[in-house]
Amino acid sequence: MRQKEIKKKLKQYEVLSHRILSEEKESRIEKLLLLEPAERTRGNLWNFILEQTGYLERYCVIWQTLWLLLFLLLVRHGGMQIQEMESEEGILVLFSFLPSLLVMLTVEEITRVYQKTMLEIEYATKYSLRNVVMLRMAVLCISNCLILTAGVLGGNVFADLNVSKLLVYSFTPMILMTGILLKLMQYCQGEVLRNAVIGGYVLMAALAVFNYVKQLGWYRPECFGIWCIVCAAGVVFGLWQFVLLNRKLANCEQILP
Amino acid sequence: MELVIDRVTKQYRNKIAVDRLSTVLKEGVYGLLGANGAGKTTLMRMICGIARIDSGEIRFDGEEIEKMGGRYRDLLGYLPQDFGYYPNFTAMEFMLYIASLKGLDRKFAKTRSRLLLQKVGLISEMRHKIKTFSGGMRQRLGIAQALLNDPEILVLDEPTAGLDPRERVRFRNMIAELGKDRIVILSTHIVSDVEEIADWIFFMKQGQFIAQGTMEMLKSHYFKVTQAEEAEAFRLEKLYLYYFSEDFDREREELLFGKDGVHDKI
Repeated sequence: MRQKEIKKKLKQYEVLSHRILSEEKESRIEKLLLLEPAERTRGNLWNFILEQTGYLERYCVIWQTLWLLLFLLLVRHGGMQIQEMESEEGILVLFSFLPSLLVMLTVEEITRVYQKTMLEIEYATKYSLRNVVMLRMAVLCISNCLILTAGVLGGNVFADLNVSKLLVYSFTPMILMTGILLKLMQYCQGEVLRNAVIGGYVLMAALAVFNYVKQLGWYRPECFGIWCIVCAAGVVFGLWQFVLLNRKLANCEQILP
Repeated sequence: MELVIDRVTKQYRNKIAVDRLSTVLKEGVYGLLGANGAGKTTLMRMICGIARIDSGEIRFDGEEIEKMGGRYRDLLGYLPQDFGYYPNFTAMEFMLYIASLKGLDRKFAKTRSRLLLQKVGLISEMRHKIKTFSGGMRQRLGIAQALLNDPEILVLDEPTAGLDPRERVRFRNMIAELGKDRIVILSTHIVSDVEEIADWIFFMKQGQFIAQGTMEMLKSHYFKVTQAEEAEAFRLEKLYLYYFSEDFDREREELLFGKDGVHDKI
């Protein structure tokens, strides 16, 4: 029995000894840390852009793909009904608030890296918080626009759609949603921002459903001109908020508690 | 390598947080001691370019840090007092994210992150989410991220908060080694951390340096002024208590304004 105990202990010591670094190895690691030259270790701006895009899309690509499939399915299933745009307001309501859902789903990755607790560290790095947030917003806006355009044009394969009208009806709420998001980002971060965005989306969806239920007729042909004006105004509003957010993030004291 | 702090001032509404501070920092470890509200964190933020300087300048090798911008931040490693983190990131993900902000090449960033996590004793937790870490583990992660870009200026605000004694000793040894060829600025309440490794110590109060020097210089001033008996086992804590006492405030006022309230020295 004693022999067995001794063998067991020896085995335990053997396992433990592999975990402990020898002094020699530890000092080699130390030397490596202290003497590694920094010059050959720097990437350039393009590397930074690619990395941030990678971080963003690694998360967002799933939602964007799912969203695109859902959109195409909807068009294929409801395609015949929406050829007569004047008559199928229900389908148009859906096409209106689906793109905003895309914004809400993909904003998670922005709020993940936009939190008060990290501001101090992120403002003391080579590429500051401003670079990260503005780059991610730009990438998100471009990729969401491309996905939506692909959805509308792809949907045209399944049904003979009035593409320009569908683009206006689907882009307008998404542009407004993005403008509101950029505005909110100037005042809040993290969980608060995420909840505010969800609240904004719910409000937009509620308005669209309210229009449908109350038969307010926002999708009548005679209202299309107003939609175009709202869309253009939304683009201007969104771009202006982008500029304001960029200015605010340039001065971290405005953000730091 | 030289960091010049030239009459910098920072004011928040009615309070002057940093009041016309001037000093020159070269390679070595600088300890910054002071009570809460002394202006230590504000000074560190200004050195890191986070807080705007109301007047004065901070220059690195002759160039203003505000004008240097990203080039200056490329040389900086900073651990703030309230070290924030992304709870759902793993330790490795966090290090790689910070490495990308610091503009490091990805391949190098992976190697360096592993080595630093090994160095701070977090290698076995590198795939665990930070929200599962204890306070001490997060602090060690904070120290690791500050060293990612091999900074020439390392600014550490209360770096040993939450570390156990063994970790503090390990940290001190690391800092002492790093201080040989870079500027390390260390602010802390734990006087013993600074005592062992600092080449130069600043005592800060109400936004000003009330005393500064090597340990020997500060000790000899203390013994000279207080007429106390020199003791071999003299500790920095005694100096800390002295410099933040009312006796020293009185002595300093007399020195600045003379016994009659007239400014006749300095």
